[in-house]
Amino acid sequence: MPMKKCRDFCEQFSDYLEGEISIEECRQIEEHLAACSTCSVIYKSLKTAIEVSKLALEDKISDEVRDRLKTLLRQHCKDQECQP
Amino acid sequence: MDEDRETIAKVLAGDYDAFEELVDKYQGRIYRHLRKMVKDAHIAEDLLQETFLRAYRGLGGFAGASSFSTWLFRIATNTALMFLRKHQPDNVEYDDEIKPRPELAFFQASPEFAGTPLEILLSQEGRKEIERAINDLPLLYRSVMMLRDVEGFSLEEVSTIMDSSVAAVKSRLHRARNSVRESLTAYYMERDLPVHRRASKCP
Repeated sequence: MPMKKCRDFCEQFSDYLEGEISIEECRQIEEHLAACSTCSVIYKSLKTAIEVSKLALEDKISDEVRDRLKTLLRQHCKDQECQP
Repeated sequence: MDEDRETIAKVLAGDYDAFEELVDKYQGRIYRHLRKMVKDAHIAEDLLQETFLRAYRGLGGFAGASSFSTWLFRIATNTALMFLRKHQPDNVEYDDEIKPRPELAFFQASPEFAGTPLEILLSQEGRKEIERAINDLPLLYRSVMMLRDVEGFSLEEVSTIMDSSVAAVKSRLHRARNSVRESLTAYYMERDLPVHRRASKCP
């Protein structure tokens, strides 16, 4: 089997984070990350990108949007006695 | 989630206030998901209302094969896709590829982004950049990344919500995450010009 190149390892990082690769592939990735500073930076950057995406996008909703939703749903679902 | 099932049983028994409990619990997340899908706050608000109306009307048919949140996000996703197919068909039918950006390849292994403290990455300016990087993704990639990385659904749940295979979800997730990584890496390199020299390209 041909030797894996850096790009091949990078292509597996997302699946690696998902736990979607074999134990042998995990071992190869971990060995490579310990030896290759370039891929190590790419891997850390990928993890950071995922982490900050999760933290940056808040699920806040304004009072106005919340109130309009509540009013509309009450009109359509409660006041008109619509059944689920 | 058992807690949701109890609430749903109350709604089905005629307790409207119980439905409002479900709305209160999920409206913020559903609104965030819709805003990212359609990239317009006003349209997202209309679709938010449509989603909960459909959920209320369809609640009797919720079989419980998935969690309520998966079921609700699937309704929201379908509502947004129907809107986009009707009003912005190009975004759904033809925009389903991440275009290669060779200009970003150089930045691939620059350490500035991963080394930037979280408080800067999550500053007002930093958040805008993250939003931009995600908004730049084509619709289906953006939606998959939002559902997996922001909403925390499993790969299987995302495949149910998006009505696609787990393999397609994994592939889109991989490409979406790397596109966001490349965009943010490029941005943090440009902020700090003297360190360009430290960049190395992945062989």
